[in-house]
Amino acid sequence: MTVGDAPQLAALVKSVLDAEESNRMDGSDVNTIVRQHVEEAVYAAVTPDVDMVLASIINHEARLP
Amino acid sequence: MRFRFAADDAHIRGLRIIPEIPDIRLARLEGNNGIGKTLAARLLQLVSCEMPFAALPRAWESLVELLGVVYITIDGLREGQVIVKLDSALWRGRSQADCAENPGEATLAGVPVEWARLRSLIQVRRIAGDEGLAETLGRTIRERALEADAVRRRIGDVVEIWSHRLDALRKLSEGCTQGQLIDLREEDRQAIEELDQVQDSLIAAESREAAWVETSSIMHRVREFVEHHGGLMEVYSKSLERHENASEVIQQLESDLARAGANMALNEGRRAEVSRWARLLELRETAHTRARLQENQVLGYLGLHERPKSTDLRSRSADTRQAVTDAEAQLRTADLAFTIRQAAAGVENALAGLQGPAQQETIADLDRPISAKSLLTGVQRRRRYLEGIPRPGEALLLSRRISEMRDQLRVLDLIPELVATTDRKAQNVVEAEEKLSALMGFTGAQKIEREATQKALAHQRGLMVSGSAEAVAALARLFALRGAPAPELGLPATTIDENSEEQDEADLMAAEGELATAVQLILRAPETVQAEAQEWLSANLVRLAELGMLRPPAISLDRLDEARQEVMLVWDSARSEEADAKDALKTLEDRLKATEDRRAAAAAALNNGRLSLATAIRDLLHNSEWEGLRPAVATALGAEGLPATSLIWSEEGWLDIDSEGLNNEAVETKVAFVLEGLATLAEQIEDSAATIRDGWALTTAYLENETVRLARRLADAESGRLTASTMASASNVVLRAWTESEISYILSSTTLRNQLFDGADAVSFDLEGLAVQWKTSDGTRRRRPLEAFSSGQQVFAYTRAKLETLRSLRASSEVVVVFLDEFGAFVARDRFSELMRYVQDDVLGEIADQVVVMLPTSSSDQPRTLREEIDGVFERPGYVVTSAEPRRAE
Repeated sequence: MTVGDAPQLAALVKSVLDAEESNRMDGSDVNTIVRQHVEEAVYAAVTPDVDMVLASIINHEARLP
Repeated sequence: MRFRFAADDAHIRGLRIIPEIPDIRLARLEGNNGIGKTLAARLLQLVSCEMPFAALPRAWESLVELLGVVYITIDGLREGQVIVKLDSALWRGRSQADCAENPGEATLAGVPVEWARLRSLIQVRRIAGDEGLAETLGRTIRERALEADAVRRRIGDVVEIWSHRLDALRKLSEGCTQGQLIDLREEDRQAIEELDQVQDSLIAAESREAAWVETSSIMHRVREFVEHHGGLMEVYSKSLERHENASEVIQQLESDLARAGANMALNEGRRAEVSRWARLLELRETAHTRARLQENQVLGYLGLHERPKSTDLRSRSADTRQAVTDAEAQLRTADLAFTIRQAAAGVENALAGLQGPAQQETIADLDRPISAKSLLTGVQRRRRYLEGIPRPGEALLLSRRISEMRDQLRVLDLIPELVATTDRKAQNVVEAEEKLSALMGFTGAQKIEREATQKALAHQRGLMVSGSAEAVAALARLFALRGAPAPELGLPATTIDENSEEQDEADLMAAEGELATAVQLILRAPETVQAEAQEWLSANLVRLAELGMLRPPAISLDRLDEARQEVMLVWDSARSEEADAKDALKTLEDRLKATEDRRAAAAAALNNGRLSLATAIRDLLHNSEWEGLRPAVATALGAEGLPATSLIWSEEGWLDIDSEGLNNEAVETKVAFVLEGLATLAEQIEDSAATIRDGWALTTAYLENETVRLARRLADAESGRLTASTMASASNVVLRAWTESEISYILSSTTLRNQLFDGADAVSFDLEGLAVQWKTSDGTRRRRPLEAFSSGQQVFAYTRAKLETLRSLRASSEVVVVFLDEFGAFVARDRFSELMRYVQDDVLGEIADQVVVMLPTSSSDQPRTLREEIDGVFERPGYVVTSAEPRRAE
């Protein structure tokens, strides 16, 4: 089952993660660009190779975090 | 859809399943309990990835044990016939969720088909009429939990696959981070700095130690001088006086003897003979005196007052010879300093000429690899240490000592011959005396007188010789106090022949004169000796002042006793300071060794760090394993101004970077930055993916928990496998709001609002209190717990609500088939025709493509109107099973 089959749940999980993130107490910062790329990748019907995810982030940012 | 079931062996084990469900849009399936109607519906649910036994763990265990192999044939799909093979033997030991995910094998139009594909073609659901509102809601939430769990599993698989890859990248990239590189460089720089400081301190300490050694040495000689000079001068003066007094008496006695001989009346022949022997006697006496002087001087030089025994002589010779050998070896080491300095200078120049990376190249491999730069540092340090070696005065004193010992050896070797010569010359004198006495023809009285004179003469000669020897010995000790070589009795090389008759008076005079002069050369006046001592003392005090390590003591040669106490104090201070300086030097030498070790360790660690950077970048850019990532790595390097295409590292550093305006350290830092960035990115990706997965797990766990709270009967045998331990209150709020919203939506359906909630505009649900809230048309707020909804009318409403929840299935599946089971109570409560109207009007074509209503066998007790009502619902009677043996109704 892909997330495309459960869009309502995907929205729910996104809200959960947003709530968790806003509630983080350890002071760490989530790289939103990385998270967006990763979300797109893991929610895709055919999950891409992680090298492609890495490359897409680097190319998107043109620099490293 | 037409469903056929073939489970030939199941009935043997007491499990029964109906053979067929006809392809009727609204079908009626009527039969006795136990003939396998419900099991058929549940197996079709399983095919649809729904676990119908989630709340029935024991029923599931029984099914696994008894079912065996079942073939399900599905006809009516546009894509072709589906045949499913289920084998319960393959379900043993597997989780319910896993079995639902993959229950067996399936083919579509004769070709194996993925379960996901099949489930996109057909979905089957069963709705039980005996479920209450709480169970209905719980089932809805559970549907969501299963969906969330399926996504969680899928993402979990992705995270696991990614983790291996990202872990490899992270390990490759984390060999040496920027921070570590900076720390390693700093450690290396500090080690070098400390090494330089220690070396400087060591040089200063060596200089200080050398100054204190010399100061202490001078003070030692000054102390010895102050202690002994006065006494030795007194001995010297007195022995010198004895020597001179005896010389005067000898001259007088010799004159007396000459006069007595001249008065004798002798014929011409005898006179000539007497004259000859008298001259020979004088010659022999002179020779004897000379021999005794030499012997006494030698004995005095060796500190002896009498002739040594031959055994003592041999022992002393052997000891001295060994001491010479040892001292010569010590001197050779000191002498080699110059040679080593020369060689080191050559090596140092060559090493200093090396440029850049060549300095880091290993040039020597001892117990550890030594770089050219390290070797250069070591050679420079050694050169500085060897500068000034041999230290001032040290080698000179050693040379003097060796010279003295060699002289002693030479003298020791001479003693036997000297003794024999002295004795032989004494015997010659006696013979000459006797011969002369016989030739003179002395009377008895004359003879006695002459012998007395000769005896006195011999005594005085003895006094003169002993006085001379003591004076020479005292003088030698005075010289030794000043560290100067003892004066030797410089006897004339041209000697007389005491037995030669050809020697004339002039020869005799000359020989005696030379002897006297030689003695006088040594036995100088005490005033001269004092002047030499004063000069030596002054020179040493000046040198002490030059060294500047302490304030020289005030010493007057005339009042040495008064200076003694101050000299002792200063000498004690010098010795103490010398010991401290040696300790400080030793401490610094130890520290130097420790610092060199630290420097070597720091250099090795830095080199390892650099090597790991180079290895990582080489692998990323050239190893086929990372081929997919290469363009991205090149982009990242490029963003830092690093040319990926020519970024090649050798042991001498990064090659061909000069043209880019970079140096090795800059490249190294940028490479570390890029690699660390990759490692960080890998970590963030893995973290993000895991966070997303955990979000789904959190949601799944929450929904499962709430499913159980709503309807305990729906508790999954596996519930609890996903814990919400990480669930934060913030997540709880979101999940609760969503769940309440979902349930409120279901409760707000028109049917339920009209039938159960007074036609309210909106209905909400309190998940925590498990209560429904709504506002009536007159504005009254109502709140009622879930368990309060249990009447027949309410159950009908739930059923409609449950059917409404399946509306979304049509979006994900081409065909939806719904089984309505356990609706006997509806029949009993006279609500069946109402339900069927709803199914015909609102469900068929909207929610489901086919509805199968399962009813118990008609009873004769049922009123005729009810039978007619049921029959009237269905276009055709459908498939009716009235006994264990199925039969076609039409």
